[in-house]
Amino acid sequence: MHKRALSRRTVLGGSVAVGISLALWLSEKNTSPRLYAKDVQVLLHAAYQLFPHSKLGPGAVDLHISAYLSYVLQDERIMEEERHYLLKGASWLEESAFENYGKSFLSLAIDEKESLLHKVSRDRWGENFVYRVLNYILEALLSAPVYGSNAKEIGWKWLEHNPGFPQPSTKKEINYDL
Amino acid sequence: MIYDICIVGSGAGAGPVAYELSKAGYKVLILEKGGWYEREEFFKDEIGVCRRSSFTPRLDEEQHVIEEKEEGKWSATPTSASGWDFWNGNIVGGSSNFMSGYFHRLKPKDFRLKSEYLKIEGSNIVDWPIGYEELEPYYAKVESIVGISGKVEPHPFLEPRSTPDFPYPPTHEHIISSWFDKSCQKQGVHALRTPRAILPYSVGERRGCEYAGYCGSYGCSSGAKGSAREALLHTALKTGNCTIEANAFVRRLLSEDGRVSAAEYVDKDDKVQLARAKIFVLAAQAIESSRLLLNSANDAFPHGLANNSGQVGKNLIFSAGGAGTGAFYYEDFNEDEVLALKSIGPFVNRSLQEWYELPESKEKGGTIDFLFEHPNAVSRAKRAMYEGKLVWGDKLKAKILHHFKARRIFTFEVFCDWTPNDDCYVSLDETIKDRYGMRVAKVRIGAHQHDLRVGEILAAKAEEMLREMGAREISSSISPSPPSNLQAGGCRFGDDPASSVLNKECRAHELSNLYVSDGSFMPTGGSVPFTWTIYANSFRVADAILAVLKKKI
Ligand SMILES: Cc1cc2nc3c(=O)[nH]c(=O)nc-3n(C[C@H](O)[C@H](O)[C@H](O)COP(=O)(O)OP(=O)(O)OC[C@H]3O[C@@H](n4cnc5c(N)ncnc54)[C@H](O)[C@@H]3O)c2cc1C
Ligand code: SF4
Repeated sequence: MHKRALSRRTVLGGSVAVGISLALWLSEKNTSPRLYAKDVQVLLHAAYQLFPHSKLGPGAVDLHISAYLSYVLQDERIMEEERHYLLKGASWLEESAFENYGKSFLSLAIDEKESLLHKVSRDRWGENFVYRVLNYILEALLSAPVYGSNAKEIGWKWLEHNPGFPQPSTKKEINYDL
Repeated sequence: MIYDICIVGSGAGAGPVAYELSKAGYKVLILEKGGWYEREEFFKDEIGVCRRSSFTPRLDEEQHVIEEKEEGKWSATPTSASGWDFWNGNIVGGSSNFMSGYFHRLKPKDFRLKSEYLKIEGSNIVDWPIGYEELEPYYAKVESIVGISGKVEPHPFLEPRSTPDFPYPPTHEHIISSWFDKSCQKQGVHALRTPRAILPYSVGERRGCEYAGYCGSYGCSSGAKGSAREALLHTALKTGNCTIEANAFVRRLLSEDGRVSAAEYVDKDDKVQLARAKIFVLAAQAIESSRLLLNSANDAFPHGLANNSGQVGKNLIFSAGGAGTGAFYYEDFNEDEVLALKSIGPFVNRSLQEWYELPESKEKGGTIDFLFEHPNAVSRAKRAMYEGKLVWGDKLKAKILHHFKARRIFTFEVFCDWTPNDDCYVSLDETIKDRYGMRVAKVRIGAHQHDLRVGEILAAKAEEMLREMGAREISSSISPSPPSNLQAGGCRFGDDPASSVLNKECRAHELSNLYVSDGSFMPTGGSVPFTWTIYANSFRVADAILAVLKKKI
């Protein structure tokens, strides 16, 4: 199999210069828990909006996206700046919500959220943010349930996808550093 | 302790040497930078294995710097910034754990590219110092020891063989293979069964293939895949003469009086150790082998070990070519056919070598392998994310549904020669170091235009075949960007020490006890993936080392 240049980071390029370490950001001792909670809330609601439950198939809530994103935010195999970007992007989205509607993203109506996401995705940061959230939604949709999402294999069933075998079923089996 | 042999790396280039030498009673030490995983620890876990690359280093800790030409100028990008990973599998058994096992021999003319074909301007093509007939017995050895399944079918470019057929029959095949055969018959070309380094049934402790439908990129949980670990290192370990030290990163080879005296490595506890041996064998995969020699500069070798000729790292090659796809829509088939088409597990196992030499121009052509799109679901779903711009919600869902439920994607890969040239080589980056404090490899990846032209000709032939088979939405892309998993060259072998690093036996011209047994020795790569040749040559190198050791006793 050829393994040519095809990576998510090549597609969008661009790392982000953010000075604070994610560990610090996430640590409730060192930063305001409310701030941290707010960004995570915005991130989750962006995910709900980008992949809602519908007649066509399951949505982010059905997948247990919150469990998956919490794993992503702590997964050391994902570069820190990449993880940080998810929260930073959420805080920028929140800023844009205030700029455009004078209220939090969390309080926007569904179509306001939708138009805001369309608006910001025309900017480079917004496109990068939405791309990343969608990327992790699709991971949550199709990963082994042991990662916390794809609850009851809902994503695999929806797409009649055969994930191959053996599949990992314990946390230990997906901890490759052991 | 002074070992007889110390091998750096434990993949395809290392396995045969460890196997032969330990079986012959010599004490072998393998230093492998990565961890040690066995079959029970491999899962079809797309997230952990493919998306988080758990079996290769983190790029912020260990990386490469890739130099590409942009608007006429070379521009260098660290892989930690681009995400373009040049690691391929850094655990005991190396990348051979993760290969798909499409195995092809080189052809006799591949050993004499310079003499057989017209000169390509701007190329550094040379003939090999050995002929096909010298490697043939070793190709045969790989068939039986590593285990290659297949069936010999006469065709115009079939290489001479010392045995009538493969020791193992082909693995199970998908229904599409018969459709492919019919189309080939109509087109008057020979449909070939692709030899695979996969056991169709259990042999000893290795179980036969379990047809999980996911092979390439994943470790094998049955032992059927002919990785160096399953096929060779297990046997070597059983002799009691082979020691594998995992998590041992060799950062330098030390030398004294024209001999390597020790391998300096960082062990699993981050302690620096020295390994001593009579003979050292380097098999860290092409780019890393050159890097290690360059990082081992000392007073006698100010430009890098074995590099007074300035050849170390030069003439790096990859496999040139690209890939293409066609879609088989379920609505074009009856119910039974759809069911068969959807089945996951059996292999396509088909290739074409009809144009290994292009009939009109008599230039070197190549090989086309046919297979299904890799079943990894996230990467397939991600292809639905764009429609000019990002899409989400029901639009995204509809596209994903279409991709997963309306059709199956059939693909092909084109393999042609990567013409060695002055713009493709390994050096050391001036500033970036890895977590061990060593300078990382800077890889300039200039491709020769000739290879793109040949690739396009082959892709057009493959597209024709897909059309004949009834595929829709056929497309292909031949690319100058190299496949990072198919690397060779950088320490090519030859008779002249001024223009090669290794002699005919793959021993460094300048150091009497240093051998290189991965793909680095190859001056040209043939129009096929390299691993069968790497295995075969490593068995040949093992014989050369055995002859030296026997003489000394
Ligand atoms: C996804 C995938 C699919 C592939 N499919 C095919 C295929 O179908 N057909 C084919 O012919 N080939 C295929 N290949 C290529 C094949 O795996 C390689 O050609 C082959 O394994 C190369 O052998 P090697 O010994 O040079 O390197 P490897 O097998 O990679 O072994 C090198 C080892 O050296 C170790 N190492 C590196 N540096 C150091 C150091 N400083 N100290 C200690 N250890 C070190 C590495 O960790 C690694 O384990 C594929 C590869 C991949 C990744
Ligand atoms: S069992 Fe067969 S399909 Fe699965 S990884 Fe091993 S060789 Fe490949």
